[in-house]
Amino acid sequence: MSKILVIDDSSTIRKMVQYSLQPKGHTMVLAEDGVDGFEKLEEEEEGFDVIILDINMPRMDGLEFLKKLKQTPAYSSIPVIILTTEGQNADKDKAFKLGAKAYFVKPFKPNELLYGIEKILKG
Amino acid sequence: MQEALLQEMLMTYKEIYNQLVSLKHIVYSSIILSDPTSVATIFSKQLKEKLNVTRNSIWLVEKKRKVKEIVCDGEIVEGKNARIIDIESSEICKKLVKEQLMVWNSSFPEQKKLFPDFKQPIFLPIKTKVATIGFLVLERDEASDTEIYQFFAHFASMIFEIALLHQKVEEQQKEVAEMNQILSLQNEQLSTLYHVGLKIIGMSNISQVLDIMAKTSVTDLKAKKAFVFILDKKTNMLKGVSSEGDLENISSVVVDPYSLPAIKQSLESGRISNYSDYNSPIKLGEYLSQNYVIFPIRGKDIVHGFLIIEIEQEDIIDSISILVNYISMILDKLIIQKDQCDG
Repeated sequence: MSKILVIDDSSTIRKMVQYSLQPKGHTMVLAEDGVDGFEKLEEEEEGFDVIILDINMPRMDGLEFLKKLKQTPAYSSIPVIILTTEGQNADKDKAFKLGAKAYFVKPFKPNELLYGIEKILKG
Repeated sequence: MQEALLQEMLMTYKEIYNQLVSLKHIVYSSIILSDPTSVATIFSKQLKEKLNVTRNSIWLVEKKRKVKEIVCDGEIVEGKNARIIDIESSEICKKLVKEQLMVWNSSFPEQKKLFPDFKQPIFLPIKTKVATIGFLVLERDEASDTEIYQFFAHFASMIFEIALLHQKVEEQQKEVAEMNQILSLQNEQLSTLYHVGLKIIGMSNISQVLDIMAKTSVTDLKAKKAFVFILDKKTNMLKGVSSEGDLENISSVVVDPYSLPAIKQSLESGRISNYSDYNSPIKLGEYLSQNYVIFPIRGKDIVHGFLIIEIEQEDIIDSISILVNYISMILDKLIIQKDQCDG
């Protein structure tokens, strides 16, 4: 199964995502903002299969993280799913231009997120 | 002669009695203990006190293919003293963990380097049906019966397996309780958003809508304070319109959005900004706002204004953000209607 990094400043959302995906056999690693997310990427020798990323976060927000991720050759191929309260088209466009693979607006349905992940993993 | 035989029988009887006492003690303790470290400690103490083991240590398998020393001679090995061995780097560990086989002291020369405190140890895997949990290292005298240690290692496996199952059940119970708490919180927030939606859908008064946003943020979504500012298109200044908390005279407060970096950033990017990005309070009239989060009230083309809240817990930001997004749409509609009437 896959190893998934969840980056969200809300501990409730982190746990919601964890409890939705963990029973399906995925290994979850949680980070509370972009800076923490990069630390987790560096700590994890085996790497991640997918990143689930919030946009509005302190220290380093989701779009900044995504930009930096895509500029870092070691991590640039990891697919990123955005999970945010920002539902406006301008935000979606920005995220997709930066390389996001999918975009979900909160409140989210766990099954839809799971389906999105499986679709991305299957390529 | 007969007396010597009696003495020997007495010694054997005492030994067996000690072993039984030891097993009884371990069984009773394992009923109330659910974490592997406590079980390992009890086990190690019993090996030391009741059996003819001069030295013992218990190692458990960790993540990333490593084993860690948990207990030595009945004492927990803590912090830097807890030695960790990479399983792949040691023939002894590979034999124990991967092949689940017992290892004798003489088999591997690395024994003296990895386990220097043991002169003639035997290594016994602690294994369950599915995997090896760890291993026991025992220093024994030559005469002692290896069978009994093997029996103890099997017994240890059972006890550890039960402890691990207990631990798993406890973790799952904790997860379910947490999940319930989260679901009930989210249900409460969604219910609030639904009722606010119903309340404001037919409203035509912009001030009333903004009052509801401030009030809902504090009373239902648990912000500490909430202030609403609207951008005056002519002067490009922010005018206070609604307040929950301090700032009772908010209607007289006027703020230059470009003088406060947090508001300026939010105005230019159309995104949420907060205290932790700037580490300084913002001045709203005479009031200094600490631990704030700034939500832009974004219309289709412009930012109409801001909801500024003060928070005690981070977890309310998402739900307030959803509320602001919803109110922004309503506001867009009301402003268009107002402009049409004015025009």
